[in-house]
Amino acid sequence: MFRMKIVATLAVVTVSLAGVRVQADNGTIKGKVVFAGNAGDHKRTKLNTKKDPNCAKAKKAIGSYSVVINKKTDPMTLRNVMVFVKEGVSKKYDAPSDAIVLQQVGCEYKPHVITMMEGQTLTVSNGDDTNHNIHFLPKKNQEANFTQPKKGMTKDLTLLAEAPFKVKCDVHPWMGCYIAVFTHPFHVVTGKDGTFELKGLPAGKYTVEAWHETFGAKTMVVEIATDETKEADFTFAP
Amino acid sequence: MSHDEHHELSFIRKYVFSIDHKVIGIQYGITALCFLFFGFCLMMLMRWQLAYPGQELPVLGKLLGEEFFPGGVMTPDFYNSLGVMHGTIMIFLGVVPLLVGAFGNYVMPLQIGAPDMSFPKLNMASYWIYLCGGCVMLASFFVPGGAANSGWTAYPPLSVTATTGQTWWIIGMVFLITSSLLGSVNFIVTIVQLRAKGLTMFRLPFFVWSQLVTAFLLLLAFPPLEAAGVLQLADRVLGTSFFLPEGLVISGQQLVQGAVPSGGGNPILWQHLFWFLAHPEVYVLILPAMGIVGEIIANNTRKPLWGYRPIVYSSIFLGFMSFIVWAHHMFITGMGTSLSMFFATTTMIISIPSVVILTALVISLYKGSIRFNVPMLFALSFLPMFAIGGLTGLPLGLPASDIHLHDTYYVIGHFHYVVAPGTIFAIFAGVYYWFPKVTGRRMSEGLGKIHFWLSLIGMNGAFMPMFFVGIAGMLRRGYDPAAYAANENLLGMVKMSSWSVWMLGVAQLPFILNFFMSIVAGKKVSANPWEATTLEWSAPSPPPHGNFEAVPVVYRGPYEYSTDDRKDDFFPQHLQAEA
Amino acid sequence: MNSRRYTAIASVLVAVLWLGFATPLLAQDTAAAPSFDVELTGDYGYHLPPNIAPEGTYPHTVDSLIDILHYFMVVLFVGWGIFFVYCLWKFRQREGHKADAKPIKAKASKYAEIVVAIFEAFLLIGLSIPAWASVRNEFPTEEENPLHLRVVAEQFQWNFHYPGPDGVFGKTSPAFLDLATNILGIDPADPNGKDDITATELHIPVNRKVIADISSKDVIHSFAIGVLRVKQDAIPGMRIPVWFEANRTGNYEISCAQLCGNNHYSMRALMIVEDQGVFDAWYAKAAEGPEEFDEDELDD
Repeated sequence: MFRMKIVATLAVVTVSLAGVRVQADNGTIKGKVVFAGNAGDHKRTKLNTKKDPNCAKAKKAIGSYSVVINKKTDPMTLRNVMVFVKEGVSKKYDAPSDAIVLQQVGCEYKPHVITMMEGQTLTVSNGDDTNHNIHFLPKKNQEANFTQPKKGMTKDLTLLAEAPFKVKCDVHPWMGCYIAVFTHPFHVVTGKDGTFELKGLPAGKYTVEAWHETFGAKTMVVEIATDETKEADFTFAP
Repeated sequence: MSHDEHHELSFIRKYVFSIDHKVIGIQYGITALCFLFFGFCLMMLMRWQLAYPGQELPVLGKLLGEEFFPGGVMTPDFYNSLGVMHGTIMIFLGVVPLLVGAFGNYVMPLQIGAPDMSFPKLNMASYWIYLCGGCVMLASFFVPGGAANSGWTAYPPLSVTATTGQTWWIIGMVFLITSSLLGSVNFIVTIVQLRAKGLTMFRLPFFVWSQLVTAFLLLLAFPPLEAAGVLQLADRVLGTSFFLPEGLVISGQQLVQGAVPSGGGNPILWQHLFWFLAHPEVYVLILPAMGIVGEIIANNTRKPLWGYRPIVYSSIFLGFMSFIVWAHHMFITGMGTSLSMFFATTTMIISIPSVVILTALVISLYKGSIRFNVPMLFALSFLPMFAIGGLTGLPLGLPASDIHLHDTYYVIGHFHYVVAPGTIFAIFAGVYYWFPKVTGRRMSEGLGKIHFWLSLIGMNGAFMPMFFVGIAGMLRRGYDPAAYAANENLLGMVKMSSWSVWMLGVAQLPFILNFFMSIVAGKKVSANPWEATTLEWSAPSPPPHGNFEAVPVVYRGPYEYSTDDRKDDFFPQHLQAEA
Repeated sequence: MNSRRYTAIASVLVAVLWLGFATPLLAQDTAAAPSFDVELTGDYGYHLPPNIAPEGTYPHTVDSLIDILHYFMVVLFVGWGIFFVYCLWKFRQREGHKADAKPIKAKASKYAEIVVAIFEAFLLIGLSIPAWASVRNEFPTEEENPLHLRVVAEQFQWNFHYPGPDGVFGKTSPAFLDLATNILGIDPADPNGKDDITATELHIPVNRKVIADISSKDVIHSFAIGVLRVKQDAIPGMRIPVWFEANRTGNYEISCAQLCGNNHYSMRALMIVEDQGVFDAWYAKAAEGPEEFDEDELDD
């Protein structure tokens, strides 16, 4: 009786493993995040970094980051928008083994928006000749608040899944960035071209969200079949 | 009580959960000496960061872990934790328990000829609550975010928004305060009720008086802090806003307490409640120390303490005044002229009884026959050290000069002169002085002298520079003095201070060695090796359960040295004059 | 007897070696230089920092009070110390010397105590209280044309809020707060706030009185200008005014004197005292708001 059970279990495991291999997930959702408002209302300004002479030395000027528009694309697109699958992922995914690096250089966070997976390592490093204090302001994760007084200091963290939250520097209040943590790998941040692409999705119906630090979130429902590529554009028109 | 002697008590009841004041005194003494040394070690760590900011701490840096020493360099958070824990441990777990818990418990009932304290079980409870408080404090190093890091003064809103360690700190403080309250009630009742026949109030040794005044200070000053601690705990865990004003924005986000935005409280309220305790606390630290020094000076000058009554009246006055000077710690919170005038005036007035006591102790040397044994050396050096501490209090007590000196190293220098070479020297003096009573053996004089001279040099080397850097404007509680360009020329002096602290650490080794070796191998001595007059020396060494072989009767004042033409130059309190 | 002498000699040797040689050597070692390169004006060392307030104002009373008190303390301590050492030497225990227990009439000490008390009263009433009254009550009048500004502390930065050319502060509220672009939370809809200046360096004109309202967003800080002997706690929920005046141009440091969190030690700001003309130019420029950020040129 007992032996039978083991055999049966093994068989199920083998079949399911084989099944995964056979059925590769190749669905893709891609598109761009369009900015349809008046760009003149959202001009970037130089931030005041005079407080710390070492910051001014490291970088001539830092721009405000609350809205960054790619004016040269047609139509204009938005940078630093997180696009991710909010609902509809049922499979379990392992966190990638490579770490995500949050750098502090020139008294700015690089990158400005981070999406990562639960359990993935986040390496915070100080690349400046000054003191930085990293302060995470999450709702669910433990509030991290630590200092890196010297250049070259690094610290590794792992985070639980959480909607976007802010990270700031207590020494240089202008420094800010956003982190979101997911249980799946379907998340991306828009760059200079304002496009996004979520690859490797199994067939299914997904709620996709685009999140921007100033303009908030927009969602849409996308249904894809196996190996299908669908286009979906988000439009922010403030 | 004496019928208790016939019961054979188990080991645990005799040495662990004992209700004998002497065992409790020893428990307090050993525990508090350990805490004192631990608190001092925290300071030795801090001094590394101050002397060599941002440099890797040799050897220990790696051992203490990445959490607080990334790459072997101390983090500012840990530095702040060390600051809080150094202050808290030294004051509440080291010095006060030594002065009151150890010396008070052991010596006071003996000096008044009592078989034990009035409430022996309360006494035992007091020790165990204190130990719990101490353990909570130590455990707080291991909670996420480390031990409390908002200053030993725990000013809200910083303390309310700080990491979990602060909650542990408050809970630890509540234990310690409760322990002190139990102890103080016991002391007052014992001194009032259990004095031997013939021992009137003005025949009490000055040490007993100082314990009595101290007990009243503890009894009256601690409850406000306990209440304040509970309120702060509520602010931290229950979402109240006793100390939080409206519209707090922490890290760019409005502070939400529980479900509603903070508001309605006042952070200054905490400061008033805190300093209402913490100023009398200074006299809790200094009065019993003066008591110890008084005993030792009278004994080693072989003449009565000069101005016994003025000293007693001064200490009572000091105790009373200490309740109305607290806000001189708060001049720069924006205090108005009339209020600051009041507190500056009371502060100047309180300096007078301190001067009276100090002067009386010095004049007691005049025409004496001074024996320079180790307890006397420590007691004598208490006088100039405390004088420096007291004098440097003047510029801090005057609101105008306080503007510049407030929160600088000058303040640190000032109160450390009062407490470290002041009170802690008195504690050492007391340890060397009463050691033969507790163990029946004497501590080595040679090692004692090495300990004394090295400590004296170390203490002054550590604290004297603080006045100079303080006047130059270097601020206290700074993790890295080199963060200010104005401090550039002061860094050498800071380094000197650090090296002196480390030397002071080395200087404690002869003491530790001496202490433990003498317990087993010290020279055996008689019941009264110092040829002293007070009652504790009439009991055997160590005194048995119940203290005295016969119930003592007192015939005269405490310091009858060289007063008549007896063969001995001392006339113990319990001896009847020959007809 | 011999061992006692050896201990004494050894102690003196250690004291001489330690205090005489080791520590002065250490004291000269100032290797850990500050990590930033701002030239401060004036001479800093083991003495009071430079005092740049005009003669006759309270910062100078503060200094003279500190001076007088320390002379007083030295005199008292030395006098007292001579008596102390004399007693220790004269009345040491030795052959043929006995203690004399007859009560001593110590008139001298009584007089000394009275003199000390009178001197303390003089310092308190003659110097400290008037200086404090000047700090608290003698604010410059409008005829003196003081510069008004607000100082808003936060973890771990000093923000200076100037009303701009119109002389009126804009409304502020946490609702409008943006740490990067509007750190004071100035209401963008308020016309008075359009020309307000937000700075992290304190610019003040030389020889002109300044009234600064000190407040805090989060925890208690303490606004300290060493060279002007100004120190005032910044307490959340309160706005406390201080006044000061500088009569020497240059760069000076502002510090936070109250523990305010892990980076308390680095909560430092620069105070730039400049001629009225230079100040006016800065003021006009700063009131225009932040410069536009040219992405193509600077962003990567």
